[in-house]
Amino acid sequence: MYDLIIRNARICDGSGTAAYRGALAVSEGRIAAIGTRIDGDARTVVDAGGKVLAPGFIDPHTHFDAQITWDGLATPSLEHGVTTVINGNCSLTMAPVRAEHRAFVGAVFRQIEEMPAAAFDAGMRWNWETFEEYLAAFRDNLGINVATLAGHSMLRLWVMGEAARERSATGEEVARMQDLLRECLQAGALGLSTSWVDIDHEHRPVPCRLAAPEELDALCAVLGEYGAIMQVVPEFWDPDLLCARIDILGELSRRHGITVSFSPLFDSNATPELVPRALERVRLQTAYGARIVPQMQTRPIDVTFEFDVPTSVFSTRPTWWATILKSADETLADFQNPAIRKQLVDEAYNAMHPIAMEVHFPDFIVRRCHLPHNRALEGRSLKDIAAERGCDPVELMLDLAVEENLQTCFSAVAVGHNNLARITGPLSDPLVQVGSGDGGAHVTRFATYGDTGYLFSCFVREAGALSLEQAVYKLTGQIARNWGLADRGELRPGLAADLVLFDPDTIDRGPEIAVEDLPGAGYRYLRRASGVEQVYVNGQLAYSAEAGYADARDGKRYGKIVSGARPSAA
Amino acid sequence: MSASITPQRPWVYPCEGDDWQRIAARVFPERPVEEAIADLQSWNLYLVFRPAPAGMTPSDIVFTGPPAA
Repeated sequence: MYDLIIRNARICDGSGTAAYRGALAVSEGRIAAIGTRIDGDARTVVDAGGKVLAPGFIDPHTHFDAQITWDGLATPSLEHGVTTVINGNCSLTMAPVRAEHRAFVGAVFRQIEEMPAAAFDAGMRWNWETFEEYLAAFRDNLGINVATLAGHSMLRLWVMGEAARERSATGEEVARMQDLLRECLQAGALGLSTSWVDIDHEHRPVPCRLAAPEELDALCAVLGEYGAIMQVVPEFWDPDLLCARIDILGELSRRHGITVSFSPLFDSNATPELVPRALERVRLQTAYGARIVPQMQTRPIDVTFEFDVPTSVFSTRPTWWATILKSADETLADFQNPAIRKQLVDEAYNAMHPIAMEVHFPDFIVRRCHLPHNRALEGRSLKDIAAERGCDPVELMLDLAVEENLQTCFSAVAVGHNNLARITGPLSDPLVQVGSGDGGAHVTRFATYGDTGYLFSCFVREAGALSLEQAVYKLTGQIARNWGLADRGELRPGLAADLVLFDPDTIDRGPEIAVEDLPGAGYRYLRRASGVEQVYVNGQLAYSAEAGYADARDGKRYGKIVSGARPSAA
Repeated sequence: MSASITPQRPWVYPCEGDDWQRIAARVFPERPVEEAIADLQSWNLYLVFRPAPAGMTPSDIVFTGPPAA
């Protein structure tokens, strides 16, 4: 007697091979049998009605590090078919963090990942310091599987204190970081994350950027001992810098026998040659024996903003940038000052685009209005409203912002990574992995969820760039193999029964909506999936379109801490 | 850098405490320093225009040759 049998399914097993009509049986959280026919009975039998049964999707680039401590489901990932999230990217983790560094780490996390301070402070309990204690803080409350990288910046901070932000490490400090990384890997860390790009809340480089090359090399040597992976954020907007970084990664990969993954591989109209050049370099390094995995996101970049917080959309427009950096009262005064206003309008139309984005002010969308009588404007473009009123779109934006005391929310839609014709080829390249989704981050700026559904709706159904089987493989088997998740990613007897049942004709990411579900009554943007019918985590039904998220049973949830790293046999 | 794969563009890492003058003197010891600094800066605008207080870091790449034509 099995626990569960799903019959009459179109099985995509995550290996990329052709789908077939069949059934799958589960016992004790694991796949017990799979094939065209399964005899026997089960406590629960599901008729899939010909829908696709696939391994649960794996999201390799998320920032649920804080959220997972108060939301063990990492909502809304599950409803998009994701059964495993990989946290701790970009050198930032919530452990190991000494008590005296919590304020700094919180500020950095909130800055880089755009998490509202009130929500972060209301949700975080900080009842841990070590990596092992951190995992223990949420291990028993997981409804989704969680793997976590150890953040390079946190290792530095733990070992060097404030000096981590100021200088290279001594040999003795590097050795202590190596020991600390070993301790994290032993406790269950999946690997290491680092960054060559990020800045902290004081606009200083995050600690890992102060590392001399020898330090990173020493940490990669530890990863080699454990067969663990390294994730890194390179200068993704500059072809020459990115290619040089790929060479560095190739060298580290070969020297230490490790897999390295960089994110994002990002297309923009400013540098259309970047992705082809980067992939050519990855191919060359691969031919020389390196294992380099570029991560490419599926969705275009949208940026949502209010004028009370600086956003990169304005970073190349000096008057805008200077104005927005001021206090709210001063910004309001500038927006009404005729001379400054003229400069703002001029710069809106005549300035260099920000890095990796193409920004056209008249196309901005009025996202949310503060005053009830303006709500009819929501969802409309400045260009559209201005034409109706016979005014300039930028003047309109300034007037609206002033009237609403800077509380109006605007969106710059599809400002980067938005050229479908250029993206389809690289996204279907066998070397490129789907990733860089950033789930759990930028929550008040744009929705970082649903890239899984978007892969099927845009690249399988609309563009025809990937087959159904290839798309499933890119969300499951490929990621599991690259990240060392030996227990997941395919439908094979003995593997964990992480499953998603979906309709290939309707699966999609859903519209972006604002939801007030953060601690402290904060809002965030998310997407509600469509076409995902059931999601199982370790054999237990965790989500269904019919009933929503499953309640914890027997006081337990069935997500697990996932770790791939094990000491290599010497 | 890889010993077996030629870089697309030559570069170096900065050393601890480096500034443009020290890098220029180290990378182009035969050239007038001011001229070498001007070239280095023109090849590394991303570092020149990096907003304070984020200066050059030991993990940065400093190109020591121009981009491909």
